[in-house]
Amino acid sequence: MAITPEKKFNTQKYISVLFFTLLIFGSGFFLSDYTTKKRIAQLNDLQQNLRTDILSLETQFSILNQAPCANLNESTLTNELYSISQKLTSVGTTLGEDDGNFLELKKYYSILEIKHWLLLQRAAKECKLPLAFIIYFYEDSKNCPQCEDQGYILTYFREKYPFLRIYSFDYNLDLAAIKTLKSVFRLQDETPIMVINSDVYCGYKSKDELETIMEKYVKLESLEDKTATSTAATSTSSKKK
Amino acid sequence: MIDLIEILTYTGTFAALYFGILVFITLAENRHCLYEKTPLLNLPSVSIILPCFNEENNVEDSLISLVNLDYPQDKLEIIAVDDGSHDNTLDKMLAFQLKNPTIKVLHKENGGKHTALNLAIPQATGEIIGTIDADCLVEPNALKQMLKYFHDPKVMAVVSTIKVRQPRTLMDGIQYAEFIVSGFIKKIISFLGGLTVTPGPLSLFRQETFTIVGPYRQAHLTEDLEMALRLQSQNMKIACAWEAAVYTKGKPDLKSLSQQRLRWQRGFLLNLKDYSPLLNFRAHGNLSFLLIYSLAGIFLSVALILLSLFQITKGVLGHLNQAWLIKFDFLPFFSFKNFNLDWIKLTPLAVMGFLALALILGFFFLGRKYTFEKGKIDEKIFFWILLYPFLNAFWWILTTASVVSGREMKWHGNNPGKKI
Repeated sequence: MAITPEKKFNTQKYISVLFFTLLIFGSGFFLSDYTTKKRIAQLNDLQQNLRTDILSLETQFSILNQAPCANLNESTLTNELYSISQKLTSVGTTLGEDDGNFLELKKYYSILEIKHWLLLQRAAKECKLPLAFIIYFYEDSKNCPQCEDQGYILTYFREKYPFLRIYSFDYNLDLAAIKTLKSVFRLQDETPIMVINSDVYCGYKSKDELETIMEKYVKLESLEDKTATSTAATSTSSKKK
Repeated sequence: MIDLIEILTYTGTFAALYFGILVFITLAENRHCLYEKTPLLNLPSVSIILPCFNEENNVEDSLISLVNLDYPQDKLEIIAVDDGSHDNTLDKMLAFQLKNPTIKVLHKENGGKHTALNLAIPQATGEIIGTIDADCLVEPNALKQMLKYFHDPKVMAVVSTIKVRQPRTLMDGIQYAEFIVSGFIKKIISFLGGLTVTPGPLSLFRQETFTIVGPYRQAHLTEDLEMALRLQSQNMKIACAWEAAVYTKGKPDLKSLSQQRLRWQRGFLLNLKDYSPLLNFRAHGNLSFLLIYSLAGIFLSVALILLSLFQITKGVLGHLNQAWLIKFDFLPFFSFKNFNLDWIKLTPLAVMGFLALALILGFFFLGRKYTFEKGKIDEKIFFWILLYPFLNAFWWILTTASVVSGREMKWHGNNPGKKI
């Protein structure tokens, strides 16, 4: 029997189908590409935010010299730091961890973190703020397989102890300020590294170990005040490594 | 690994989208002939064969639905064949025959469904011969609706729309949604001359079909699939009647469903191997395109699902590790400040996933609309969307292993006539 009319291959129809498929598929790509570009366009805003925050922290330093404690707006800055770290994580996922723009933003963010840390350390002393600090250095998962786990534990600590401020730094970031920190604390190349009150702790510390260490410096219960806010220092760290 | 997933997802979505658009364009092209409108002026004589093996719980209901068909009794011949059942199937048939003497009851040694059909076909007197499974119930108007399609002299077989009877359990729900979608696609494919099964639940044939192509064969335990491929190999036209519903019992558990699907899919591959000339594009046009497309689709979906499973497992293990790190103390993470919508990213993959989901839901809702399905939609459809791709990939993997190893499959419980 000859081929039935239904079975006959209509090339024109299949090409039309291909055309519509390409159109819809292309539109899908265009839509996602558009939103990605929009996201990248926000990088400039983010960079601007970081610059403004750095300036703001410097200003607060000056204010602290003139009128200690009176006008310190710690929670706003901490929240801003939290928000920027989240955006930075998102940018890292979109652009890739090795992207030049992302690394540049990371440097800005690291400077902001250092300035924030310096200000809060001083404020904690002079204004008797019940704060504790951890400086955390990480590397990527190839060089530091346990950094991801450590980052997650520190994120947990940050969430559990709102008065705990955790600042995370990429150990290999090409930034003079980080190199200075490394030489100030005389760090060895053995990440993960945590600096607590100038004491350096190298290697992975479990939740229990870290709690025991922290208890040496501060009553952890005193950091549990639910009314305070916390930094998001590790929200990038757990994903960046 | 991520890159491979992305490549597969894009290819898979593109292929699915292409098929979806082909379906919608074909639907639009044939919008005026979705149902056969030609009135049935001359009612042909019809013989319906009901092969049974160990169907004592179903045979009576099935026979009742057949005698309740809206069709003149003098033109309807019902032949129930007991394929050497070990239970009371034969007694039930005979008891029913006492009340309805027009029904013919045949009995034979067990030999498989195809032998039961082949015993009855030569004895059938109808111009049209139908086959029905014993666990199926036919809507009273189904026969007349199907017969209308024989108005076209080229149509040699007509298939019905299979639905799941009273979907109650999760397994029923999954099969319900699957049958709705496959019913929709089957009709569209019929416009392209691409039907590859004349399903056991209810199919009608012109009597001469069997004279031309011969009797049923064992055909790797999928005689209904082989028969359709045989008709296709001879360029015989198979039509699909959306408006004729037959209700089958869903498989009650994963094991029996898997056995059934393994048999179907294995039958598809092995019968396709036997009928490999159907893949000849010049000779079979749309049909060969659809067959090659479905083979590629099987490969793509299995690869994609396997890679997704790998990613999901990796993610789950990662989260378990994190839970272990913090001694399962998740309380600190549950605070409002952690809530943000930043994770909703319109990545190309997300867009493609959304397109694929929209497509499958589109098929489901159109399938319901065109097959006049009124049953309520409940949460089971979401389980179907979530579970079915994984189940299907799992079955295809088992099927491929079974085909490659050359292991022969047996009917359920070594009962050669039992439909699984």
